[in-house]
Amino acid sequence: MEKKIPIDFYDNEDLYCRKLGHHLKFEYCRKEHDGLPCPKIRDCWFEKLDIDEYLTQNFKPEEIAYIFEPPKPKITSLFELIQKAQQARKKQ
Amino acid sequence: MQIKVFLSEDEMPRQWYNLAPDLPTPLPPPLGPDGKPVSPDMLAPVFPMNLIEQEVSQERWIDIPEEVLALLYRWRPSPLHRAYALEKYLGTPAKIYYKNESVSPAGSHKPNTAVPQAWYNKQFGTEKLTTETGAGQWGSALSFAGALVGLEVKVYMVRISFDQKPFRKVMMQTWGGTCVPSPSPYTEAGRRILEKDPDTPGSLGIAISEAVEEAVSDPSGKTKYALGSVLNHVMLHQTIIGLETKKQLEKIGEKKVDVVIGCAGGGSNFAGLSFPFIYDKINGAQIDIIPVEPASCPTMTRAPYAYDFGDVAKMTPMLPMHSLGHEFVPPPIHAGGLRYHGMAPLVSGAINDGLITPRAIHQLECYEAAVTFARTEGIIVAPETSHAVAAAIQEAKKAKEEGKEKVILFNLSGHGLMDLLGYEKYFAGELHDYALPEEELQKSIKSIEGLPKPPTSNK
Repeated sequence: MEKKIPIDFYDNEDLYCRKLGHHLKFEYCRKEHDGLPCPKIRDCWFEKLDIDEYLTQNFKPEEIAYIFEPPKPKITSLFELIQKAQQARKKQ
Repeated sequence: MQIKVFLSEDEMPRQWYNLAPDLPTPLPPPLGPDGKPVSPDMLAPVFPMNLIEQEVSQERWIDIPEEVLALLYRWRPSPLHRAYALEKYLGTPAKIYYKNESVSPAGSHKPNTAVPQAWYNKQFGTEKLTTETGAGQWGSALSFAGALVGLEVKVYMVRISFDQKPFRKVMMQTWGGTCVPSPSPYTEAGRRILEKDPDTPGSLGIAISEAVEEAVSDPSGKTKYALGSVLNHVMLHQTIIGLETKKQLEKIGEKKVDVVIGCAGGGSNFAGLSFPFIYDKINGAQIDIIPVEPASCPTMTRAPYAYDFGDVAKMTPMLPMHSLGHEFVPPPIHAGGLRYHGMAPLVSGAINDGLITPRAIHQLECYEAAVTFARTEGIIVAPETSHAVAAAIQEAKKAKEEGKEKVILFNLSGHGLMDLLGYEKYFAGELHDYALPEEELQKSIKSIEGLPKPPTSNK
């Protein structure tokens, strides 16, 4: 069996983040999405490291599926967020 | 030789153009998870009614209030340039024009909607606008707009960006916007995250949640949220670009435009230039209208028009959009702001009706075009804008081959001075072209089979 790549192995690698617009450490990218890797992690890192191997070794298939759900259209996300905020307000 | 065509303030268009009533196939309403249309009232907690009215309007022309015009005068009318130097470099008989939206205070087309949105909110009684920002482009544009109308603007900026990227933050502060790091202690969403991890660097998703929550949670109703893309009223406000351009072309005696080009991510800058020309096309004009997208993520060029569920769980409302399906995972590529899963419904509708012809271009060709443009015309364009430049060069070369003196027009939607890394990578040879394999595309398309389809044109 292949040796596992430690989850923090690439933490100090540095790359420009297209989503936010400045340089970041890999440590941010692997936690960005509710504690899981950023959905753009493959886009950004595939040129510098074997990102697919890293993801496969460190995350479950269902986590990977969750990470790479396509981004929702903004309007759709907005409806969802309005509903969430309204529900949270009712509970208060 | 006239390189730039200006309009005076008095010559500025007095109405925006709304494409919705002119689409041969009326735009179907957004659908909820139950398959029923979503009411625009669902937007009322975050948008003022005057903007919601524009969002659902079927009026072709909507008056631009004089007060809004007075605000737009800060940088509008924007100049129309004739790209003589680029034409000479290419040796083309074509005439290339570009509408220069990089001259706005924020450096892009974004203030064209930020300013009216702020003004309409002010009229409605809104006292505060919230929004989210990552790189800070939209946050800057909205802060600028807030300063013009006297509206408080609160921008939730992802904390790591807030800490590491000072320039846009300073722009927002300079215009009077309040820029706070997200997650913040001001919202339930922010507090929940901070309790779990006080040192979290945040994310764009959290920042959006906070901005919407603050608007929804204000019991006075005087806090609203602003969005800079996708929605119909955003497209409407941007049509000032194309309407000005038509006047400028007329002013210098150009009677006919052959090709109109814009890059298309969410669709707003493309819509802004092209919709007034689509109006002409609907009324008989022969114009090729081309939205350009990255070849690696063919949202418009190869995907079917379908009602797409926004997520894998199929739990959220649906909008009719050109989409690769809810299971589509985009391949790796650096393509700036063009990586959207869905296109604005009005743009999708225009594709569906055969009014516009999308084109995909590989990123290496785009950067090559952008560099050529910078070395001839002088402007370093934004990475997204480079797609429009590349398409214009393609058309100019085609005109040369055909020996035709075509008139080509494109939208220079923004400068790239805050986003030079793509250029750096291009020069370092670190960018790669990547096309979506056919089998992956077919797999994605299969995932939306069986979903309700919108009505199709008889064309």
